[in-house]
Amino acid sequence: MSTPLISVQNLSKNFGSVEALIDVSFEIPKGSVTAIIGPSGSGKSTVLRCLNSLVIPDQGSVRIGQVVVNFTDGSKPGSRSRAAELRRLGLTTGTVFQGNHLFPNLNVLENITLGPVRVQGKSKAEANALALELLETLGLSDKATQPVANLSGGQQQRVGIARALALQPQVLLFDEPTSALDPELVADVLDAIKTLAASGWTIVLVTHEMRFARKLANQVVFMDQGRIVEAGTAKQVLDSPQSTRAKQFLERILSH
Amino acid sequence: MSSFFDWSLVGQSLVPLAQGMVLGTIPLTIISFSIGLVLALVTALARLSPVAAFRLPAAAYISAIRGTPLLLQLFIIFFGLPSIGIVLDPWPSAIVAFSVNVGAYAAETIRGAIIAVPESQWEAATSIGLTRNQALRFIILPQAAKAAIPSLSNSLISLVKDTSLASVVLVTDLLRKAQEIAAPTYQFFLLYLVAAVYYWIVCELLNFGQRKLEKRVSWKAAA
Repeated sequence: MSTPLISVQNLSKNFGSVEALIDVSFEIPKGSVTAIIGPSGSGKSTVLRCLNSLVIPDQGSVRIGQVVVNFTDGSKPGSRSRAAELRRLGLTTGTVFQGNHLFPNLNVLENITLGPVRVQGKSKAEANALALELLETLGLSDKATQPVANLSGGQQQRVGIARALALQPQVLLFDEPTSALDPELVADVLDAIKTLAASGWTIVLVTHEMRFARKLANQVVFMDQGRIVEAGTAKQVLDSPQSTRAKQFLERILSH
Repeated sequence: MSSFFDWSLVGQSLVPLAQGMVLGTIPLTIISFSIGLVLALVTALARLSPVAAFRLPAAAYISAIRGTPLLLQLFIIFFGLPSIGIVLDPWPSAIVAFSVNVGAYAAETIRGAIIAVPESQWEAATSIGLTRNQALRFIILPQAAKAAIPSLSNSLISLVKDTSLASVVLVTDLLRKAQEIAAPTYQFFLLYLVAAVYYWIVCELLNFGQRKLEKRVSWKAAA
């Protein structure tokens, strides 16, 4: 097997006295879809936020592609070199947030081009062309000049996807991308994710959509109380969980 | 007893009072507010800085200015500073006093507006690779500015009227003009009323401008 795109080793993170992550390790092959599931407060989102540098782990290391950040190497958390490392790590990822978190002061196109222009130094014209192409794929070509407030929740979430894609990251992170949406808009977003998976993107998603995870995910990671309790193929973890905790969780979530 | 108002004086005073407004009150307001806003932005960012060497002086400045009367601040600058060798003319004195005063109040407004921008906006900005300064410039400050408009408009409208204090340090503004015309004729009541109407009109115009501005930055399409 080739080297995995992402390798996370022994991550730990405390928020005050709360142990949010305890010795979390996993690997993710390029081009795969990984679903992270588990009860709320289990550390799912924290894992994602360690990948995109929004959370700085206390221990362990994260490698995405060529970028490695070792959090136990003794370098000061606030130091300039550490900040640069974290920025490089963050830039390997594109994140789609639960509440989309679009920038309300910018229109749809500006939301997408801000990163490419200001971070990658692309020309406005080049960034616009790329953004329009992305909007086209996501079925939003006619919304380019609209303020984001004018879009429906599902459309906003797809703009969020376009914004993440525009920086051409190595991995796409989805943090409960459908949890804040009306049920009828969920399909919109799930379809968009399915298309991305089919075109070869490496995807890590935190989700409560078990049917979606079963259909799409190559591997499923079940977390509880800051630890990875089980990991394996979707079939293994969702259909025949080994741990009592995973069994309980899945029974409860699938029973209705 | 002057029991009759000299109404002709009203007509005669309209143009000189307008001059006091246009050449005194308005430029004094605009210059002081502009400098004050810059001061306020710098102070607000300093207050939010993780570096104590920035944070503490900013906090001390705000505390001192908000804790003392504006008239006293003006007196200290105009009548007090000369005793330590710093002599400022009426106009510079007034501009310094009003800028520094507005700066302190507006700094708190701007700081509050920055804090009110949801943390998730910072996170989204970070997630697309923006540095802290870029996030401030393109995402946070534009949103904070919108939230600060009503409060800053308040400060501006207050300042228009506060500039009348400059008349006591010999700046020829609207109020001083009214006093100059009233003094030899004893028509204080009339002249002060006319001056009041002038202030009111200017503030009403600003009020109108505020509503226009709020509409313009609503971020919802006029589709």
